[in-house]
Formats: sequence, C-alpha cells, structure tokens
Amino acid sequence: MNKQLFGLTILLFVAVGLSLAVGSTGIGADWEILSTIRAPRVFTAILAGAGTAAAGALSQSLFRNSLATPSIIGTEAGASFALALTTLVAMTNGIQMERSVFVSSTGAILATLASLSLLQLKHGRSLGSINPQDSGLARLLLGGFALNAFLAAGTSLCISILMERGSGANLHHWLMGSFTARSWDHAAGMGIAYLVCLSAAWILAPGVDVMSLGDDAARARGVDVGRSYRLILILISILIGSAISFGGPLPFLGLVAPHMARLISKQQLRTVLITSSLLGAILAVTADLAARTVRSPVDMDVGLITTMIGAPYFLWLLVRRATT
Amino acid sequence: MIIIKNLTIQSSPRRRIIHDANLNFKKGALHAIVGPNGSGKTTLLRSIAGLIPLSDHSSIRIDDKNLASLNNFERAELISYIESQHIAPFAYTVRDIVLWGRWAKHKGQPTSADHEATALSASMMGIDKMLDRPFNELSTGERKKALIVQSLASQSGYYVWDEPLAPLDLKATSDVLRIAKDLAIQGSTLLVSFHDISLALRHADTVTVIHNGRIAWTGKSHDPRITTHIETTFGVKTHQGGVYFS
Repeated sequence: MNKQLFGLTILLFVAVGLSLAVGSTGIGADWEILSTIRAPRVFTAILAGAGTAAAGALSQSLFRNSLATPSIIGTEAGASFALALTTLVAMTNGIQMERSVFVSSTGAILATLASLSLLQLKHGRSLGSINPQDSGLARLLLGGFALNAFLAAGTSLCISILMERGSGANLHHWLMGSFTARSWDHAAGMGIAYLVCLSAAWILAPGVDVMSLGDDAARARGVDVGRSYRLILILISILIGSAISFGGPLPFLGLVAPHMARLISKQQLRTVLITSSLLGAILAVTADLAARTVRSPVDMDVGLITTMIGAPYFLWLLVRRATT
Repeated sequence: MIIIKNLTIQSSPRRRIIHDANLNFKKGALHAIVGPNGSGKTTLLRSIAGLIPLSDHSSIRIDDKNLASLNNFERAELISYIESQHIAPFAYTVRDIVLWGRWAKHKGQPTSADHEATALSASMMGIDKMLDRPFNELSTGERKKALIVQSLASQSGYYVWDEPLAPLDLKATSDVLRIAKDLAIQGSTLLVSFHDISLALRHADTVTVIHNGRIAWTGKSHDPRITTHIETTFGVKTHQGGVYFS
C-alpha cells in the first residue's frame, strides 16, 4: 500500500469516527442510537460516496476529460426522474413505496442508453468509422445536455404535482441528497452494488487506460473499444442509480473526487478507482456530518453541501485550466 | 507478405477514398507509401491495420491469413500500428504508453518480458531517460518518438506507421530510418507513409505512389520509371534522387 492510500485510509477512519461520535444529541451517544441510527447512516454515506466517485472516475476515463461527470450523459437525471415518476404513479394509486434501487438504476440505464443511441455504437465487431476523429463524443455530450434538461423538467413536474397533493416534500428531500433515516438494509444494498460494479470495472480498467490514446489507437492495440464503452456505461448507470436510491444524488462529488485522485495518484484507472472511492467516501461522510451539525438539529440536504463545495472547486479548475 | 485485392473504401456511397487497389508487399522489406495530402495514404494504412471494415469484394491477406477473420488480439499481435494523430488527456508516463504497445500480449498485466522489451526499445531510440516522464508533457516530436518506441516494443512481424517522421528532428529521423532498415533485414515488414519523397526514394525498398485514391505506381525505389509518376502526381521535378519544385 502506498503513502497516499495509507493517508486517505487514516483520513476516512477519522471522518467516520467523528461522524459516529457527533450527532443532534450532542457529542457521544448510547449504543441504541449508534447502532440503529448513526452507524447505518455513516456506512451508507461511505458507500454512496465511493460509488459516486468511482462512477465519476469511469466517466472521466471514458470521455477522456478530467471535467466529465456521469451527469453529462443524463445518468443522474434519468435515475431521479424514474424515482419521481414511480413515486407519483404509486401515490396516485394509493400505494406507499420505498425508493427502489431497481427503479433508479433502470432510469439511469435508460437515460444512458438514450445517450448511447446518439453515439451509435457499432454492434458485433467493434470496427471504427472511416474517419478516425469521429468517435461521436461531441454528439453524445450535446445529446446528454438536451436529455438532462428534459428529464429535469419531468422531475420538477412530478414534484409539483405531488406538492399539490401535499406529499412532495419527501421526494424533494430525496432528490436533493440525504442520508437521513438510513437502515442497515440501505448500507448493504449500496455495498453490494458497489462491490459488483467495482469488480467489473477492475477487469475492464487496463483496456480503458489504452483508450486514452483514442478509440482508433486502442483498437489497433487490441482493445475491444465498443464492448468497453457499453459495459462501462452500464456500470456507471448502476453505480449512480444505486447511489441515488440509497443516498440521493451527490452533485459534483463524482467530478471532484476522481479529479483530485488523478492529481495525487498514479494514472492507471485501477489506482484511480481506489483513490477516488476513498476520497468520495471521505467527502460524503464529511458532507453528511456537516449537513446534520451546521444547522443542528435541522438536517440539511447533503447534496446542498457537496454542491457548495464542489461547484466552486469546479470553477477554480476551469479558471486554472484557462490560465495554464 | 501482405496481399491486397480489389480494395475499395467508401466514406459514403458517392465518395470513394480508395479506388480498387491491388498491392503486394513482400516480407522483410521497408515499403514506402507516398502521395499528396488527401490522396488516401492514411485510409490505406488503417485498412491494412484492420481498423476499417472491408466490403465483400475487397480482401487483405497477411501471411496467408484473412485480416477480417482475426480477432482483436490476433490482429494487434500481428500488426503494430502508429496513427498519425493521437490524444493524451491524462498524465500517463511514457513507460505506461510503451507497455500498451504489447497490450495484446499482456492484456494489462505486464510481465518481466514486457518490461524488458520496453527497456530495449527505449534504448534503441535513446529515450531511456524519458520513460518516467508524463507523456502529455512531452513535445510533439518527443511524443512521436515514444509512440515509435511503443511500436518497436510490440516486436510484431508487421509495422504500419502513418507519417512517423513528420515531427522528428534530423537525428531522430536518421535513427528511425536506421532502425526500420535493420528490422527489415531481420525479416520484419514495414509499411511507412512518407511526407518527404526524397527520403522514401533513398531509404525504402519499394515505393507506392497513391493519387486521388488510386495506385499510380508501385515498384522498387530505384526503378527509374518512378520519377515520371512522382513528377505527374506531385507536380514537381526530380533530379538524381532529389525532388525539386518546378
């Protein structure tokens, strides 16, 4: 284990320790509160943060841009919209429903597939187009932009209908990102999704590294580029879908964590995945701690915190890029 | 041996980039491809590297194997390709990049043999000291050197290089040409597109002239008949192996 990973692991332990110790009941707590309220909440935050960051690392590698996030292809918006729509339909039919990982992942995958169809990946033998420069990425990004706007409008519509019926607040809270009232079931669900996706990404990672030279270059060196695109996009969708259903979206975390990881660690995607996951977990736990202590006893939405930290960081990156 | 039959590549039903090319490239030789900008050099090389799907009538056979029937790994092990353009969004080291030249062999788990090939190829081009530097911080010429080393590290039988000399300085150019000729003597087959026709005439075993997607001429580089084809294709004058503007 190298120095960076060791340091980050220590940092994570500190953040987790603090998070477990501090709460709306002040510092320290009895075992009951710790084991049924705080611990599941903290572990859900760790895993959702790690999953979101890993999805971000995969997006940045796949789109060969250190400012890319899963949201640029509509993945996050798709998951949120799917949750909003099913909640609305369930309420209308008088069914009480829990936010479901199945629903949000399906939404994320559908949105990603819609973006993918814009990319028009060739099936079967992955051979390129005549023009080596046309990987269709620009089309994908522009399509994702439009899709995002469309899905966000749909989500807002669902929320406002629910608000009229006096039951939209809960959904609104989810979609802003929150780890309030998480159980061990949530932590376990997120853990399984994370481990499965990370294992699959681990296998594909060396090929994705080669793809950084360009689709054509990677193909020439023996990488099945089409298959990598398809599988990695599905992994991103499942990671984001499950993070949103178990913890809500963590805006900008998927951008910030992998970007920091590339600054401090080696560039190989496998190392970046581990480093980003640790950073994502630390950021999510810390943001959650801030969310429930800054305006204690009011629980703020953790998504607000990550946005307030992430958005200025993103702007700083843009400015720094422009000046170097 | 590379045997190309009836190769036609279309970017759209109306536009043909390569028009019915029939070519043979002998084993153990340096074959130069020359032609004006936009004549189809890159497309010809990409199709030989197996990166463009072929129509039913076209066929490319390498060592008696049908290129279209090879899987990704088989194709990449047989042919090492250097593209004329690449991107470098992340700070991978030159060593990382060179190891990718053997990706079809190690599939992301480089062994000591892969590291040895990396060190050997780097010393051939004299870039040993560059191996731990970030690739995306190098100059265009240095990057090209690194990509040539990547290709050498593959130790393939076939090298397809698209304008490798374009950004190189004089010393690096002579190094690459010397290495290319050595590889050819050792039995490798090199297909290299040249920007500089004089260099192609002087150093390659055969020269293929491509013009508007058609093969204008293919033959030994010292065949005197080639000068006529170069003069008409490029609109230049040749004199004693040199090329001059008319």
